Amino acid sequence: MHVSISRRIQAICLAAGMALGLGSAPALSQAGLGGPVSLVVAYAPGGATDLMARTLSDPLSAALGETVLVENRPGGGTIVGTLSVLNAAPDGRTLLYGTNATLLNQILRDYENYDPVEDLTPVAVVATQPLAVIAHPSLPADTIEELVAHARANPGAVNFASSGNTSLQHIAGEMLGSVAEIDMLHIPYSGAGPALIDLLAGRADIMITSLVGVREHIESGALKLLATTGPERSPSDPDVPTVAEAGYPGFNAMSFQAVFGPRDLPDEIVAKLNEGLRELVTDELKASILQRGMVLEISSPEEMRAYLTEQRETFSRIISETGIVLQ
Amino acid sequence: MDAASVLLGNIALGLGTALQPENLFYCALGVFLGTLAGVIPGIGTLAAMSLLFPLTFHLGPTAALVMLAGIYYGTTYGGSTTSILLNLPGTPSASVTAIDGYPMAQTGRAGVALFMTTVASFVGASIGIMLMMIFSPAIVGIALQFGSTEYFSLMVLGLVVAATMSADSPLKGLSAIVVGILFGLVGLDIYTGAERFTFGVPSLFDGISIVALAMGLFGISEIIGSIRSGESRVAAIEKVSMRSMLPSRDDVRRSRWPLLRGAGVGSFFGTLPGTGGTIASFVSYAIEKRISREPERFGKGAIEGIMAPESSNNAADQTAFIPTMALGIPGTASMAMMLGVLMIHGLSPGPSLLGNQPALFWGLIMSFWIGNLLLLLINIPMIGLWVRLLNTPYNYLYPAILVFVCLGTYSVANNTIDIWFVILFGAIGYGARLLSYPMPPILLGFVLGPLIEEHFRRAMLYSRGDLTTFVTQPISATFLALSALVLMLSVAMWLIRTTRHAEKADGGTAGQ
Repeated sequence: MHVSISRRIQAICLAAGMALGLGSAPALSQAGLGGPVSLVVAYAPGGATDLMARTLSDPLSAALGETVLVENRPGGGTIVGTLSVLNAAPDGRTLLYGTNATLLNQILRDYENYDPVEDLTPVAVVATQPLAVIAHPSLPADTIEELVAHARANPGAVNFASSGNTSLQHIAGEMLGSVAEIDMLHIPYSGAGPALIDLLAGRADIMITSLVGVREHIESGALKLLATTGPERSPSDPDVPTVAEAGYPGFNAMSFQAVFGPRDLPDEIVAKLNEGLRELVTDELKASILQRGMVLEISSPEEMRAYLTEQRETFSRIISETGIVLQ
Repeated sequence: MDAASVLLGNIALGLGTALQPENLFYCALGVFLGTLAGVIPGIGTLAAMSLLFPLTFHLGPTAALVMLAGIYYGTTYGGSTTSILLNLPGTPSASVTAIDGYPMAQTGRAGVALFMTTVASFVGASIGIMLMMIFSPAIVGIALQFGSTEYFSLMVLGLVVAATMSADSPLKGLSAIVVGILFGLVGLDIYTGAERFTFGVPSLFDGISIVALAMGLFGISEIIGSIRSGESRVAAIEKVSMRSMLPSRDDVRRSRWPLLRGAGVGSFFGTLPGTGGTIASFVSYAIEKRISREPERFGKGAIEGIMAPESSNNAADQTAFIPTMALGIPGTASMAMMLGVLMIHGLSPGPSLLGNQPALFWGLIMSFWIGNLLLLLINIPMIGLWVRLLNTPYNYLYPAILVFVCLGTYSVANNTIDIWFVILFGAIGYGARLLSYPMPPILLGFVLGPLIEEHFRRAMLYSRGDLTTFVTQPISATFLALSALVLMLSVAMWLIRTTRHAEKADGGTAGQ
C-alpha cells in the first residue's frame, strides 16, 4: 500500500520532470539500486560544492539508472550532513558529496568520535582543484619569494583573509606561514564573497582561494596572482608557478570533492557507484568543469582512502604545529 | 546626450531580449512561484530557488537567470500578504510590515493594506532598478568603500535609530533587543570557532534559523493567543470590492514620502552585501516613526508603517544585484546561486559581463521591469482572494497555517530541529505578548547583534586593536556622529515631553 503510493508519486514526479523537459529519463536497468539516490550536500544551496553536485546529478542519474537528487543538509559546519549519511542504511541510496571540510571539521572537533576516513565508506574522489595565492596590487610583492621577503621585513603587517576559521583557505595560509616562517595576521570572514570584496578594496593583502569567479579581476589588474598551491602546476594555469617551486617542496593545498557512502557500504555497491561515476565523465563535461577551475577525475575507492589518509596527516600536522585550537 | 542614447540603446536591447517568448515565460513562472513562496509562511527565497535550480541546466542562461531572479524579488512581494492578514510574516523582511499592516486588517482595511503594499513594492523596486541602470559603477565604487569599520558604525546607527521603535516602554524595547542579541549569539564564534550556547548540538553550530525565530515569535504566538481567547482574531470581512481596496485620498497623501524615503533607504542597504532587506525595512520603519508628527499612530494601523518597509525591502532586493553583477562576487546564498547559473553555462561572472554579454545583462535588467509589472498584475486580482481567506473558520485556517509553517521552516535546512525552534519561539512570543513586550526588536537584535560583533572584531583585527579607527575613517565617523545626534535628539524630545507631562499633571492637580 505504502510502497505503491510512493511509487505512484515517483512516477508522477518523473512524468512531470519529463514534461518540463528535465531530460535524461533514467534507463531503468535491472542492475539499479532499487530506488532514487539522494546525494547529500552539507551546505546550503548555491555554493561551489552544491553547484558541482547538481551538475553531476543528471549524468549520474543516467549512468546509474536511478534518479539522483541533491539534498542540502547544511549546519554544524558540515557535521549535520555528514552524520545523516554516516548513519544511513548502507544500500547506496544515501551518499555524501563531501569536501575537505568533511575531514577538517572532524579533526578539529572530534564530534561523536567518528573517523571520516574509516567510518564513512570512500567511493571516489571526483574533482580536485589547486587554490591560488592572490593579492591586492598594493602589496609590494609579485611572487611568493617577494611576499616572503616583504612579510619578513614587516612582521605581522600582512593581512590574510579567508572564507572562515578552520576552512581550507585558513589552513593553507597557516601552512604557508609555517613553511616560509613568516608571520601573517589571519582575518576570517563568513564566506569567500565578503573576504574577496575586502581583498578587492585593498583592506586585506592576500587570500588563498579558488580562482573561480576571480580570474577576471586578475586579468583586469584589480588583483594579482602570485602562485597556485598544488603539487604541480595547475592545468588551467600552466604559466603560473606553484608555491612549492618557490623553495617549499611538498607544499600542497588542494581542495577536493568526493563521494562518500555510509558506514559499512558493501563493496559491490561501492564498485557499482564508482563505475557509474566513471561512466558520467565525458570530454565535454571535463572541459566545462575545467573552465570552472576544477579537474574532473574519478579515483578508485582505494586511491581515495589513501588520499584521505594522507590529507588528514597533513592537516593534523599543520593544525598541531600552528596551534589552531577550538575551545 | 550621448550617454542617454547609449542607455536607450541598451534599454532597447534589453527589452528585445526580455520580451522573447521563452524569457517572458520563465520570468512569469519565476515571479508567480516567488509570490507563492512569499505568501506561504516560512518557505523562503532560497528554498524556492533551489527547487527550480535543476531546471536551469536545460534553459539558456538568460532564461535561467530571469527565472531565478523573478523568484528572488517575487518572494518579497508575497511576503507581506500574510503579515498583514494574519500577523504572520511570509518572509523575515516582511516582519515589520505586520506592525501596522495587521492592525489595518483588524479594522477592516486589509484590502487597502494589500493594495498599497503592492504599490509600495512596485515603486520601491522601480526606484531600485532605475538606480541600477544608471548608477551601477558609482554605486559599486561606494560599496567597496565599506569595510568592517564602516559596517560597524552603520549598524550602530541602525540600532540607535530603531531602538526607540517600540511604542510604550523604551526599557521593554531595549530588553527585547538584548534578548534578540542573545539568541543571535548561538553558534560558533566565527573568529575562534568557540561554541556558544550550542550544548554540543551540531545543528546549532550555524546558529538559530531566522525563519524559525520569525515564524515562532510572530505567527505561532498569534495563533496561540487566538486559541486562548477562544475566538478568531481575524476581522470579519463583509465583501471585497475594488472600491474597498482603494486607498482614501488621505492614505495616498500620507504614503507619498514614506514610499520614496523607504526606497532610498532600501536601495542603500541593498548595495551593501550582507545587510539586505530585513535591516532596510526596520530602519525605514523607524525613520518614518521618528519623523512623523503623530508617532502615536504607529502600531495602530498607520499606512506609513507599511509603505516604507515594503518599498524598502523591494528596493533592496533590486539593488542587491549591483555588487553581485558588477563584481561577480555574491553577497548572499541566493546571489551565489544566480552566479552559479552563469558558471554552469560557461559564462564568467564579473565586471566584463556587461561588455561581453550585453544582451544577457540588459535583458535581465529589463526583465526586472517586466517581472515587477507582472507581479502587479498577479497580486492585485489576488487581493480579493487573500482577504476572503480570512473568512475561513479558524478551526480550519489555523491548522492549515501550522502545517505550512512547519513545511516552510523545515524546507530551509531539511532539519527537524528548526520545527522545535518554531514551537519554542512561539511560546516565548506568547509570553512576550502577555507581558506586552514588543517583538520586532527581538528580531532586530537577532539580525543586528551578530553583525555588529562580526564587524567590530574584524575592524579591531585590521586596526590591530586601535579603537580610534572608528572616528579616523571618515565614513565611519559620519555614521557615529549621526548616531550621537539621533541619541541627543531623542533625549531632548524625551525631556520636553516629560516636562510637558509634568506641567499638565501639575495643572491637573491645581485645577482640582
